[in-house]
Amino acid sequence: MEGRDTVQDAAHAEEAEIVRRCQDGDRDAFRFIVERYSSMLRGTAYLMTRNHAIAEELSQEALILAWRGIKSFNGGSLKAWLAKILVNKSVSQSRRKDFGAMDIDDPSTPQPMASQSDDPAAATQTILEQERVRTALEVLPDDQREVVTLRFFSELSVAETAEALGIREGTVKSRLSRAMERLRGALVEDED
Amino acid sequence: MAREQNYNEVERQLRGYFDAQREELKAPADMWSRLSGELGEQAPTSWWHRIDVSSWLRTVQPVYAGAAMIAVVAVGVVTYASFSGDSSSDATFSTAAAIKTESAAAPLAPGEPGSEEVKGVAGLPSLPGEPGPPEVSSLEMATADDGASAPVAAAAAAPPAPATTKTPDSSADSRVALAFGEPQIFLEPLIDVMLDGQRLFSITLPPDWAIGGPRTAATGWEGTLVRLDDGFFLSYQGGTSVVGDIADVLGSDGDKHVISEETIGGFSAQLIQPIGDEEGVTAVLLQLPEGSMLVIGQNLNAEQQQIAFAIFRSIQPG
Repeated sequence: MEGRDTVQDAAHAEEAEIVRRCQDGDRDAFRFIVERYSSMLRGTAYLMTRNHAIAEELSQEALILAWRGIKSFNGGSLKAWLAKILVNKSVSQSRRKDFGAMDIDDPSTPQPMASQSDDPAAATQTILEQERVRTALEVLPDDQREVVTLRFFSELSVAETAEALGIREGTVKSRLSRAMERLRGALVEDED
Repeated sequence: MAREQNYNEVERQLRGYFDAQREELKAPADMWSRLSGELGEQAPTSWWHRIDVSSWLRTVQPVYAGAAMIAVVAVGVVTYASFSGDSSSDATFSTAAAIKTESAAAPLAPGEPGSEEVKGVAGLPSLPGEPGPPEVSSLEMATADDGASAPVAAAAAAPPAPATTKTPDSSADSRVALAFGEPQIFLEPLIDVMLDGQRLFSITLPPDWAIGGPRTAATGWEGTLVRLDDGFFLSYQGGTSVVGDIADVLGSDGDKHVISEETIGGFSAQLIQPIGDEEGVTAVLLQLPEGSMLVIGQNLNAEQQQIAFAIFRSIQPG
């Protein structure tokens, strides 16, 4: 446990140094941030918008805004800060949808992938399971799906999720709890 | 116990699903080459970040830091007391908002040398419950016939600072501040927002704000104004077929908003804010010779509404 803490501290120190260099205008340092977090941002954006083109655009814009505003980043979780920029861009996009500016339905929703398994039965089982999860997530209310996505896909802590969404930790926990309860109903045969 | 096992099973399935998605949804390998040319200039650091109190506190003995903080608080209290003891200065703040240079000791009043009145500009939205001045003639109440909501509408529309002035040369390098008591909003110099070499509009933003876009949209062009500290943002869009009428923006919620009319940047504009609480739309709709421009925020609190209105009033369409 102590060893893991040491590794995390070292990673945190390295990231702090990268941020400091970015704040001094070092674009090469920002490349490190892009390469570390662009997949997380793009994936999160897709899971929130269900549209590859918008996800691509959102993640790029979030990174551009992060570069332009990184001088205002004053410590804490860089990942949560980036996610926060993305979430707000995402909300902005969905609001524009209300004005008829765009249609976010995406016909190219990625299908669940089979795991790398030699056992066809196991692979089929995995596909079916992933399809069930995808369907269960789709029927979650937006606020609950957001929290689940940030916690389990973006791998943010409860505190980081709260920061990214601009809500209290207690709210994150209650949304997560409600989401898990719904997912339990959809994914697990109740044995109570 | 069974329930706990069920939750573990749900978590296992979620993690399996998201692991697979992580592979599927990877960013393109050439992300950096796509981005590097688009990064642009970094926004300057705000005064709060420049003084970097947190790192100072980490390096100073706690007793000295505590003493310094107490001294700062004491100076603040004395300053506040000296201002609040003079009722006439309160009146000035509540009735005469002014854009001034940051170094100016006091807001410029209308007609004062060095100031230029902006015609037709009504006051900023007042904080909920904050009394405004008696005259609100330049504002039109969307729900004035509603006996219950009219007083609320008047309170919401009654500006703490109706008359607005600005320095003659707003393109100078010095930042400007829109002063209306608390909070004081500092705006950076005008920024030209360009698309394909054409100036769409100019706007002033507080420090730590960034402009997302503009980019071409189905309706014309669009983008976002974002406060990077907390993600508070406003969306903007413009073009020939954006929004022709404010009713298109508010839909059935028209009676929950106050609409005032002003001239902004030489064009007719409608300012919208929610009545009474934070639920609703804060927006400006400018009617332009070729189309319209809409800047909009949703569910903004009182402070955010004031900042939004300050930004709205700085717009100069291209």
